[in-house]
Amino acid sequence: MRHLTSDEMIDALDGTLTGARARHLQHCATCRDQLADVEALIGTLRSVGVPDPPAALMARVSATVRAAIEADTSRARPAPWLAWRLLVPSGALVVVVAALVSTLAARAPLPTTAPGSEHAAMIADTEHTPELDAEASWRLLGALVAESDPTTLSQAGILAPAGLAGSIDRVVIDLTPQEQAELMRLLREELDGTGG
Amino acid sequence: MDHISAARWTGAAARRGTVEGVESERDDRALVAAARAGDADAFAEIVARHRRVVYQVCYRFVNDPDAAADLVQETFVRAWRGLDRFRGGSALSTWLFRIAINVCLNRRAAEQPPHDVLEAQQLEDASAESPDRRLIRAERARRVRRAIAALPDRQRATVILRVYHGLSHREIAATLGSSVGATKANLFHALTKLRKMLGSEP
Repeated sequence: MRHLTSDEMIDALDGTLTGARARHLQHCATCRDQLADVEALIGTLRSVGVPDPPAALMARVSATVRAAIEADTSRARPAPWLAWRLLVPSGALVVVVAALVSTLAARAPLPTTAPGSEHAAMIADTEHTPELDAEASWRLLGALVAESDPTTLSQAGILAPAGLAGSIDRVVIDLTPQEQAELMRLLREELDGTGG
Repeated sequence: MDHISAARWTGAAARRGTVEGVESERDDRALVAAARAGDADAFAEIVARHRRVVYQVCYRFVNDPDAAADLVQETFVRAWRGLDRFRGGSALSTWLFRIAINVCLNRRAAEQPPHDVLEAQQLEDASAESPDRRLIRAERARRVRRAIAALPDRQRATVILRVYHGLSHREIAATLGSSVGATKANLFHALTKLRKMLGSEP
């Protein structure tokens, strides 16, 4: 006769022992006594409770956790593209581009095949749409930033000065489509608010 | 006999408290979602709701109120920082137990000498008992806690989570990074040791 293994004894405690092993337990006094001993032990263990902690101690726990969370929160930086330090000059750049495109679009059509003038072609394309085409604007913005003098851009507040973490040109150009859409929405709100 | 056994564990599950209820779980999920969005007040509510039961886990590990409170604090700070890793596959309380046990194991705070503050508080609380009865109960509690404290860490964690908080073997295995079979073996060996240490203690 094989007595219950340790796993089977735990199953018996859980009430999940079934089949032949459960039948063995029913007929084996040794296993029943062992199980009864373990059950009595568990009863003894559970008779020892933990008193409610002092209210002041729990209040201290909450206060300390709250302070740690607030410290974490204050250290956390917003998403780079939402930082005002970057968003404001980036927005200014797009506003300038938008104004430039609108002005040029209102004039006579530019020759779309002007030598060496891909930007002019982009701008001319916008003549046919009442609103700025977002994709064309982004392409134009990227081209302008890529080909412009870094010093000039920096002085204009468009490009981050050397040493400033998170260069704005990269921040603007590397935005995901969703981020670009959100930035465009913010800029449109800004333009609407200023009569643009 | 199965009825008796099942009732014991069922009782343990019930002791996990109302935080395990369906209504509370729904609330917990909403609180977690808000906290993930940066709502510190929502997380404060989570702390207020679960700090007592997390304290019980930690207290059983270290037998000291102040040390347990420190561990509870660390547990919740870790939970805040790891909220994105809570997938909702288990109860929030179970997830917090896992963090608490790991905090306890990492700190190895249980190696500190146990205090007897619990006995003093129990004596004050049990005013209806006779003095003799209170002394007997306090002495039994002291022996039980010292026996549990003498268990190897993983066996102690298994006993605390299974006997006192009713976690399933699968949940305990996930907490300790082991298998269900190893968890059952841990529990059996722990109970065998405790039975020897406590003798025929009724």
